[in-house]
Amino acid sequence: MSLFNTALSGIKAADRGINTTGNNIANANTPGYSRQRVDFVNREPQGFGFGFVGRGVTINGIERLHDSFVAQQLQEVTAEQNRLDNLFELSASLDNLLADDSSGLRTAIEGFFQSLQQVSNDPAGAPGRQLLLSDAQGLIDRYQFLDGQMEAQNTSINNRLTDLTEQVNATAQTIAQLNENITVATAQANGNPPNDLLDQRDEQIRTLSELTSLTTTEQDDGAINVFIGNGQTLVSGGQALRLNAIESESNFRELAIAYETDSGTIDISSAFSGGEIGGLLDFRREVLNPSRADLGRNAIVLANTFNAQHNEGIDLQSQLGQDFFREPTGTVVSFRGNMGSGDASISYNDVTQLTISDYQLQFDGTNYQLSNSTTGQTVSASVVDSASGALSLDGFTVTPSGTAAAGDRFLIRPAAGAASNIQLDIQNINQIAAASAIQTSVPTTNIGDANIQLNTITDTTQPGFANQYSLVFSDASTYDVIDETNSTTVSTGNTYTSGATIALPGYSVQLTGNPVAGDRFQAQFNNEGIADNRNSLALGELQVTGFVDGVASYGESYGNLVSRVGTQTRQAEINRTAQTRLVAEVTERRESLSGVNLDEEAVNLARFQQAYEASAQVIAVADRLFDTILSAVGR
Amino acid sequence: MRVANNLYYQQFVSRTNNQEANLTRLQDQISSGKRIRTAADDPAGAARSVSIKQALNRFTQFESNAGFATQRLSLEETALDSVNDVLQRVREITIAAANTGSQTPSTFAAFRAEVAQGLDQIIDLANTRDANGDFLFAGFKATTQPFVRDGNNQVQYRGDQGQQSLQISASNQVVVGDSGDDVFNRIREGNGQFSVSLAQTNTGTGVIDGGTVVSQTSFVQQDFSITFTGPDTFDIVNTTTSTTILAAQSYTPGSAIAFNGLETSITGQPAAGDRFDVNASRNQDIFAIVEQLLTALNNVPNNPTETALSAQNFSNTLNNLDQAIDNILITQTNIGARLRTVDSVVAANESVSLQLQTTLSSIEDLDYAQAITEFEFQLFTLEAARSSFSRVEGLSLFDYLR
Repeated sequence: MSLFNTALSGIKAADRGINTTGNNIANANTPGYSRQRVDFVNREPQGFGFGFVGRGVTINGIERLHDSFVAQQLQEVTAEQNRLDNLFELSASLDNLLADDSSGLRTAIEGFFQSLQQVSNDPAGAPGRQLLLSDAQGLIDRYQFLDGQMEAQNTSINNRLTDLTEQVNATAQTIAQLNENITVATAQANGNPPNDLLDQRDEQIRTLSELTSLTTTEQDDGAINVFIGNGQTLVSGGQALRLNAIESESNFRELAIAYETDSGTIDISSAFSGGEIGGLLDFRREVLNPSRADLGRNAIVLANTFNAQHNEGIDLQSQLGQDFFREPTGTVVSFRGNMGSGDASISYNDVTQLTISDYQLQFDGTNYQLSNSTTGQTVSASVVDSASGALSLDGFTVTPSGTAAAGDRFLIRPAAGAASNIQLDIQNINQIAAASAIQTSVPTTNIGDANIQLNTITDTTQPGFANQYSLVFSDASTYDVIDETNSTTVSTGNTYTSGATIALPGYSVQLTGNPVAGDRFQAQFNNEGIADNRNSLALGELQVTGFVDGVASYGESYGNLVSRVGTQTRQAEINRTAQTRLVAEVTERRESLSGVNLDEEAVNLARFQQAYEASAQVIAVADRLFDTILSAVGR
Repeated sequence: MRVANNLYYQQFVSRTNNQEANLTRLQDQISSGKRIRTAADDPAGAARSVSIKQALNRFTQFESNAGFATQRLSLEETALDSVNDVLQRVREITIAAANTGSQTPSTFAAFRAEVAQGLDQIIDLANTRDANGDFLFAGFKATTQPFVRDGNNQVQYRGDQGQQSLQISASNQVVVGDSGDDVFNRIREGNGQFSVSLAQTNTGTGVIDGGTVVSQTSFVQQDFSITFTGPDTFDIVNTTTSTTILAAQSYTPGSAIAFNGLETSITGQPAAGDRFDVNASRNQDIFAIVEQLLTALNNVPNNPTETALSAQNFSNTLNNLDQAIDNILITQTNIGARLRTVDSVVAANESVSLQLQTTLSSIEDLDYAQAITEFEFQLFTLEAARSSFSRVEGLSLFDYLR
């Protein structure tokens, strides 16, 4: 009775169809689910002399509507989007921190120099001095706060790297497990694909691509191998390797992504790209570290240049100005594998040349070598000062100490972190050196109309700096220099030219006009010149002097930092918006092929239901035919 | 194209998310009035606005510095006005006293009393303090009283020659004070270039005129004396170089005596051996000038020689007072010039500052019309998206398959 069989095959097929449709409907909202379709084929027909009679329908397989090319694209764009997401979020938070008037440095620098003007207006007055001191503390607090916030971002990146590598490991483990299951299932099903397992694995790989960029290759047995970084195998068949977040070799404060192999761990941070982890590493390398170095450089330049000018003045107690700020220094970190006990210290010889690069100090057993990691510039051996072993590059000097072993290396960050250790060095308001250290005067007994004025102070430590000097004219064009403090003659018979500068120990003066024989001009240490504001005016000028990189003032340099982080943030945001669009497009393409449309399923449901009912009707007809035959024969 | 139900929901969610984010941004901009909320909104604009804000801040400070400078300079001007008033009164007394014929010991006593009081006033004014209690004319030694009378009735200067400057614009510093040395102690004797005097030992009645320099090129700053060898003849000696430059000149009362590029004259009848000095001007202080007047007012002259000495004293004092008054006036002129500088710099600062503010506003401030239009449009599209979603979402074939 072939009709029974034919009808039965129809019922079975419709039943499979209804089941598959039901499964599609049930998984309409399952992430990564690809809709399935029953692949019907008509059975081999029965041959007769007159031709072939069909024998019903059979099921060739259950097909998964899936495009592996689209899946791969989705992995790529997902990785990039997650990288940009993280890069943007972190940059935006740094940007907000730096650009905000209440947390940024701009208002603090301005406040500090504004109170300096108060001191200039009333150099002897306590209120202005008190204000300057508290605004200086405010400025220092702001430097430390900002650096602290950046350090906090670094710590939070470290924590997230630890978490995310664990997630990578867990996901890799799941993929490996799925690989194994798929291989077994495929074998058991005579090579038919276990569609739902494949969907699960695709979804896991997509999830992994949220964390890192990856590439995949499919094996003959159905397994997929996953590679990250420079092609390091993360999943191979049923095996998953492990990643670890470990202290970076060059800097224990920064965690690196390391790859565990039988022969040890390999730092693959530099090869790592994409995904959340890539975003974190990119942010740290391209935004956070340079910003921190920039802020530190700002603190170093401000402290050094302000101190230099402050040292030229005298305070309310007629003492030479001491350091206003404790000058901050950058960081030196020994490499993890160093065998020796060596260390190094940083000092600065010209802060206007400081860069925000990282440097590496290397010891080859006899010589030290210092190189700029950005430009590759290296201090040649001839620059090495043999006495102290100090190396100078880009405005700073590194002095190695202790005993280093051959091959030992140090990470030198001449500016990074300095903003944390700037401090106020003067404690009371009398120590603010608003006055110039030198005062000149013209005795009223002079007959001529010539005048004397201070030109520049070059070195307050020069012996004899604080002595009193007289320039005494023996005739209108000749003068002697006399040290009044020691009653000694310094020089005689000097020729006078109006407007020429005359050098005295540690400074120079300028005489203009027409002196007459017997006229004297005096220059001396400015004792009790408490209403003198010449040095505070000079200190005020520093606010608009281009020190940083030799061109930018403190404020401008900070403005550049804000602007750079702003640009990076903006760039990340624009790219992220574009990437989001791209992800949406690829998702759309995937969903358009693999996603479930309920209307379509409704139609299929109705269709298979009708087919089922129709096949059942065929059985009824066959039954009746059978009965007809039986009754005819049975009589 | 096939549309998966899932995608349909996802797209609706992500689009409304975008629209709501835009609305939030616009609302934030509208409520703050600022186009730039963080540097990332417009990095270049933000950097410009940072540097403009810094410049504006400095202008605010310059404005307050300028106010401070004006205050200091006005105070100094007021003090010098008073000094000038006192000197004018002393000058009037000198002229009156020089009219010896009508003077008696009692009028001299009255003059003395008034001049002595004037001297006290000048010393007080020279020790003027500002609002902070700092001495105006002490140079940098602002807390040291600059002018102190010592036991010999001489006024000593304790300050120094420092002059404070204030920053009133990026390129301008204005001097806001003058040292007491310059104002009160640097008064040129005589006519400003040379001074004349007669020897206390003179027995004749000759009086030498203050004179003038007639040739600046031949004038040298050296000292000379005119010595009478007889009632009608005199020699002129350069006492700096101890050389006789003119010998046995004949004397006519009131006729010009010219040498060293200067011209003077002697009136009255000098006696043989009388000497008149013509010295290059030195600096003296205002207090000494007034003190000399007090000495001259000690006695009413009662013989021709004393009358000649007295006339010489009053004449010299008048010349010296004129120099002192001139010096005060010159200082006041300088103050006036500084005040004008302050005013013009303040005006320039204000116009630059206004320009900066305009620029800042164009960088930072929101174009409300545009923002509100955009806001309305966003609101409209969000509402449209929601209403179209609710209608499309309700469509399902399953509703019809029952």
